[in-house]
Amino acid sequence: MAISRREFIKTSAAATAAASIGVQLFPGKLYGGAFWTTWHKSVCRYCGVGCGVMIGEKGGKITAIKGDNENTVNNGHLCLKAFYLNKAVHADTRLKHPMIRKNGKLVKASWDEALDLVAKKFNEIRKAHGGNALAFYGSGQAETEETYMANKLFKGCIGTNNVEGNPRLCMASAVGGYLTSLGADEPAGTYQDIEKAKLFMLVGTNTAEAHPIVFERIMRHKNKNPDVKIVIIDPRKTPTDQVADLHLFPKPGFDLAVFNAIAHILVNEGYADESFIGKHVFIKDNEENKHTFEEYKKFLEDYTPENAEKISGVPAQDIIKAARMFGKAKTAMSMWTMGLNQRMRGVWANNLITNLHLITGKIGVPGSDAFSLTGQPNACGGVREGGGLCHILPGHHLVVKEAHRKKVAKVWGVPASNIQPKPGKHTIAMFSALNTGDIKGIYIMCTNPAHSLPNLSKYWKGLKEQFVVVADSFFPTMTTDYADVVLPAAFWTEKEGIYGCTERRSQYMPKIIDPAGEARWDAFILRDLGKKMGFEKEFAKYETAEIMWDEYRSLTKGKDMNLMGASYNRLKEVRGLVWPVPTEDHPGTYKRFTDGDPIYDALPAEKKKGRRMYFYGPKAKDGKATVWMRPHADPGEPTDAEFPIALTTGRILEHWHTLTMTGTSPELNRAVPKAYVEINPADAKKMGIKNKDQVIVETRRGELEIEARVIDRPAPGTVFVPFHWREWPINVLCSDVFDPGSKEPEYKVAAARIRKA
Amino acid sequence: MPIAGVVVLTVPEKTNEILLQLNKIKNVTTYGVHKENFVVAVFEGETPNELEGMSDRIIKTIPGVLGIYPAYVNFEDIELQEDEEE
Repeated sequence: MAISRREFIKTSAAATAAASIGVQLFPGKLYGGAFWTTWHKSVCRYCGVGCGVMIGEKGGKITAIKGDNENTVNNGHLCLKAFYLNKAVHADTRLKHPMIRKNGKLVKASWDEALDLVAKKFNEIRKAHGGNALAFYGSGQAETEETYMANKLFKGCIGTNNVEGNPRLCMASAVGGYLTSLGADEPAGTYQDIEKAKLFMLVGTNTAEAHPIVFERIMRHKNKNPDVKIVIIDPRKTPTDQVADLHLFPKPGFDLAVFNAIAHILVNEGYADESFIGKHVFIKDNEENKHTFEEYKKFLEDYTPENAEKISGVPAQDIIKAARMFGKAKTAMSMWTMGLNQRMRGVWANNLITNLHLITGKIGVPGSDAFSLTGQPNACGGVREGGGLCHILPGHHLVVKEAHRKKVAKVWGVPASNIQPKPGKHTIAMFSALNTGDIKGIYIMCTNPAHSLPNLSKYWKGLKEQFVVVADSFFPTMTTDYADVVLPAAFWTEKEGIYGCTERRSQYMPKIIDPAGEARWDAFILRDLGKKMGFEKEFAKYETAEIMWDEYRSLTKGKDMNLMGASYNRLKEVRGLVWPVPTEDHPGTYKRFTDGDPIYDALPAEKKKGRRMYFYGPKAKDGKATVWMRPHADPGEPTDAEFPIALTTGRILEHWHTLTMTGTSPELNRAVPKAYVEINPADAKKMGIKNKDQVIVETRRGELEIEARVIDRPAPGTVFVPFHWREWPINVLCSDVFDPGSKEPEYKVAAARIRKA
Repeated sequence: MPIAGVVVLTVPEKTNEILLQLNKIKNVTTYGVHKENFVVAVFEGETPNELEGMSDRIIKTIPGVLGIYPAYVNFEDIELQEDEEE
């Protein structure tokens, strides 16, 4: 029977979808994708879940995308952003040639002209004002190799630690939480825990929309096992609620008391594992004084459910119910994202979640973990592991440690004295220094800070006044509006490299097609800039991505994040490797700090005697984790009579970050064409606001006219605005107060008021 | 004209009703209920955004749809090409 090409593709699509759930739709027939397409194994470009994708290429174009059914992260499924993947690659908004600002306008330039200008200006600034007058601002979307080149150029050659990246705005509090609670960054477990967990506690995460594949795994597991429970702690109702067994709605920024109250119930109703605590845990206060378990119980006396209700607004009975669900569950997995991290006490919030696992022993066993979900695809791999922040060096090394500086400098082939012994400026300090002129030149790669910083308009001044270089794949962005030089960067599928996702998994992405126009790979742009700045010898050897990766992973040898077994050859074959992976024959590590972790397994027997976990990370002492006695603290800007509504922000299913990849053509914006403010119906009634009314949202930093969406999603007293659109830059209204430990700004809570426009 | 093979994850007790609703939507072809609460379907649209918009409307308007997960998306401009297997 004749079958049209269209019918054939439809049948292939149906067969592939069915196969992804283990169903053979057309027995005996061979469908699974178009035969005329060449398929390449890769990783999704969007969020931090790390989904495997198969990319179909034909005639130099990306023509099809499949979920990689051999990849254990997503087992063949993708989320709706897959619809945008090829559109982003071939978008009309791709930047195809360098540009230089002349007489106020960006005009086309040659690569030599552009890089010569950047090298000249950077060298002039360095000579006149020192290396610390320069800065680099990178991205959790850049490849590890790209961040590695930036680190070497700025920290190793120019001699400044003013190297930051946008993960400071999303993951820094999770890093601080893991380091202070477990002694080492990144989770102890992996996604494999999902199918073994009996309870999920989802805190400050709209998992269904922001991490759909993780949500799907939770759903599939719950559907098979109806005894699996889901508790949500979030000021806003989201699509994740469809499957929640219990939802606690704290006032934004007032949840620390709730976490302590849950701990209060756990220790007072016999759910604490005192044997685990005695062998594996120190209990400390904010001054790092050690305490006994009895003293911890006394500390928690202030956090009765009733007291927590007064602070947070969450009914005491709900807190008790959540605590008992956590305590009774044989295994429990906590997951969180920006609702916890983007807070003035984000590190404390992270600590208090991890406390619940440490006091009940629900960690280090299958199905139990305190598991931070990552927002960007390589925030873990490139920036946290790759050392792309102002205080760290590649491979979990620290700038403050002389031995670490010497080790990294030796590998880089630069004098150790080039690497400054003090951390550089963190993100908010960096953009403040642009405002004051202390930083006079900045290189911005693969990110859009003129749209994404909090208290946004405050930082446009510095971008306008100083010398700004932007390397990006898309044009225009709000940041290129301020650029003196714009460099076209190769995009996903146009370059090879490594992404490291939420679960410590490093995955290889191949170059499949040629870069658009004159675009070049970011790592080569930085290498060539380094050469033009006079560091010819230092950058001579980096002919390939593999050379960069091999040099980088040599710095991980013997570290907690050992990647020595993750060579390019191996990563090209497998669906990623989960570190520590010390040798080429090591399979990777499912659980850290316990049996099966090569570092734990190699410990002397006396260290492991009588215990099932040993926290060996750089910040841990005697192999113990820390339960923190963190008191409740209000957010930086609590609501008051003048600004009585709590404003919170976030992203939505249909779009991603600042729209450079999902807003690449007009038709892509039709689904959710503009921003809106979600207002609870009870609040709307009080304010006389109807659905689709134009309203003014105002904070102490400014106001924004925006459409009202009256909907039972935010709790009364809270409003929510997505941050994606440049026409409605809600970040102008956000507070830039930041966590004193992680330096992560408090995007999630601002005091606001609303009136009809 | 993009074509996507998707899996629709549903609340189990609503799966059959969801299948009926999906069958009423233009440019949606269903391929049955599988594993109790999965509907296999193919979505067709003029643009990627149409596929996304269609998915978005289904999630927001049909009760019990927990998620839509593309497993295969073809972006070729098929109408401009010859049928190869006639």
